[in-house]
Amino acid sequence: MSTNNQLYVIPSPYLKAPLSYNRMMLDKCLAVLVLALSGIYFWGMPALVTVLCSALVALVTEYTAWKFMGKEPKLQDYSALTIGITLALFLPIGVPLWVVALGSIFAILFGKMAFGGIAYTPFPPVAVGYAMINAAWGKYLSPGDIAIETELVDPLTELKSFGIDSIELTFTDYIMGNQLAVIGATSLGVVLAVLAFLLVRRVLSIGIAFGYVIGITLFSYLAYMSDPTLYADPGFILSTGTVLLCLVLLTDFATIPTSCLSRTIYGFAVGAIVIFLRCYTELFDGAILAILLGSFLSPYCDMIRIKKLSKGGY
Amino acid sequence: MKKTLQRIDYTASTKIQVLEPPSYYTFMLDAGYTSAVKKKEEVVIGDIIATCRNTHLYSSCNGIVESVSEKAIKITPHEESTKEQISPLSFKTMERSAQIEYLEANGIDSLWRNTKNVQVCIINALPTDAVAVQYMPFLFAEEKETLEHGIETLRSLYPSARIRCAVPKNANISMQSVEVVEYAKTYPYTLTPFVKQELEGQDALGVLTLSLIDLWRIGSIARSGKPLTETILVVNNAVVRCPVGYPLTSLLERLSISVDSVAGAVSNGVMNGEPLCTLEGGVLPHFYSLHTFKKEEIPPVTDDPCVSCGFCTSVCPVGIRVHLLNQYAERTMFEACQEEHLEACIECGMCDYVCITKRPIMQYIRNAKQHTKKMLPMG
Repeated sequence: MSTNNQLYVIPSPYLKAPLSYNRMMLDKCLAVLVLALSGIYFWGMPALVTVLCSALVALVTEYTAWKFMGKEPKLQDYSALTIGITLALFLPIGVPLWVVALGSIFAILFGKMAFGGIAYTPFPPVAVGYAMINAAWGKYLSPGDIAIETELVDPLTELKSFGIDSIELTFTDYIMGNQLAVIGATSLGVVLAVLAFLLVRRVLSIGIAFGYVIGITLFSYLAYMSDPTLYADPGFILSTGTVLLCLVLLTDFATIPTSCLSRTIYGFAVGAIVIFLRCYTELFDGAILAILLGSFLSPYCDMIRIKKLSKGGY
Repeated sequence: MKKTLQRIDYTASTKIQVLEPPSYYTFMLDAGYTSAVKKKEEVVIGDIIATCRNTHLYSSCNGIVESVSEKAIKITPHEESTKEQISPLSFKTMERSAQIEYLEANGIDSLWRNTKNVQVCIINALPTDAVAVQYMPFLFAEEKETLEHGIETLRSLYPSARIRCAVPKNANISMQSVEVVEYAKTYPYTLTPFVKQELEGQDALGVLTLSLIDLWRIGSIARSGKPLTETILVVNNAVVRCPVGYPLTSLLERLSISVDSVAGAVSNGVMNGEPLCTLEGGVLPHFYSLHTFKKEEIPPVTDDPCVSCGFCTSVCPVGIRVHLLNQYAERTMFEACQEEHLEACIECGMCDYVCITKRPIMQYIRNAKQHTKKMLPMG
């Protein structure tokens, strides 16, 4: 206390829960870092270069944007770093670095900073950056393009080109990462472990994960039942990488509904859109774009009111 | 989260401590009070020294007014007073309206003047704060006689009313003269609107609610026939009987709390109480708790934007969509606030407690309430 008995005053309550946004962002940053490290383990130097390029460009872009806006840069909330690393997770190795850099710039500038920061963005910034490079330079984004350099196969390209019967990968292959996939989704085992960590730390909501998995399972089962030779079964869809990896994108609070029930419905709807895009478009993997489209539904899902207003307050 | 909110020990055997008289008394005038005494004037216990509409501030000592300012009145005790002592009123024989008026003058403003309308009278003896509640069982154990006087007064004020007392479950509290109801829910459902709703139903009419400390105050006035010049308050983990005007610094020193280490303090509950900006003042009559904090214990508050995580909405006991309301309030969209049921907020502080970006949500809401009051047409 100072000499004239002045106290620090904050508005009550003087008791706060320990959970903080910075801690949640740190958890998320650690989670994507683990996924990036697993990608570097499987793919070596090219993956490391992609991740570093994406992360550094994201940090520099955000720093410049804050300076341009005349505000103090807020890089310490891990948001820019997380966006940069996460974007790299959805890219295969071999993508030209200028494409990676442009994706990262788009994600930060048009996905985040154009709206005023992470709290105001209507779409996951990573999905915005990915959508941009997918639209402009989509030919670089398929893991199948590097198939000539390796004996591994890309199950999604195989499925789209030759049908479900051509795929010979086993569940162990998916778990251990013996497949061609994007950097973050090579090993299903690592993806599942990271998602479990995010669930435990309350960064990923149970409702959204549950709804998403149920949505995908149900609609892929319906598609599979309609034509088993053309469409994959739910087990296959959930085993291949990006579908589950996309749950990392559904942790941006500003872009998802707020209550558990509305989050479950939202997850279910996004899951349905994933299967729709896979079945009726030419996309190999529509998951990340499904999340971008699903963000439009978020405010509508949020209109569902679960709790009745209690008259106790009147 | 719940572990932090339930630091209440009903079995603790702390006694109500009685403090030695201080070397001076300070009566703060910051709540709209105007002084009714002059410098060097002699006062005795029970003299009106300040007024605010119908409410008075009474001297809690015999002494001489040392200084009067806009902020405070300082009185030095002087036992060999030449002024005649105030004789006790025969409170119990007074008319009902005069009794209520006298209680209101002592700051008990929750009583109804129309005595016929009261069907049920609920006394809320539940923890009305997450921490500052330890004294409830001590009042039952050590101040039972005063409480009985309070109940007797209530009975005479509202003869046709049923008196019910909500107590915590397993607290082993019994009172022969009233219906004791055990209530299992925890904070914030222990706040009076919820207790009333639970005990009497949502649309019940004629339900008067009263806190246990107010019952003690009524009993204290009825028993002594004198104005209220002391209060019982919880100071961190101690319970003290303390005269009004007792300097806060002396109070902390007597309880072995180092004044130099105190960087923040809040009265009447950590969840929705009133923060103090200085320790220069004294104990006010409506104080029932005082909690002090070291610098590192004061939680952070930021003006970071709301990230719409929805935790506030999920814990709101009323069911308000707080994630929307707090953002409307921040952007001064007061009409939108009213559409989001601003007036239903009971200010329990749970939204603020769980906020991950540490925003002052309750302050935004209180600000919006002040503005919407101004927006209402006069009358």
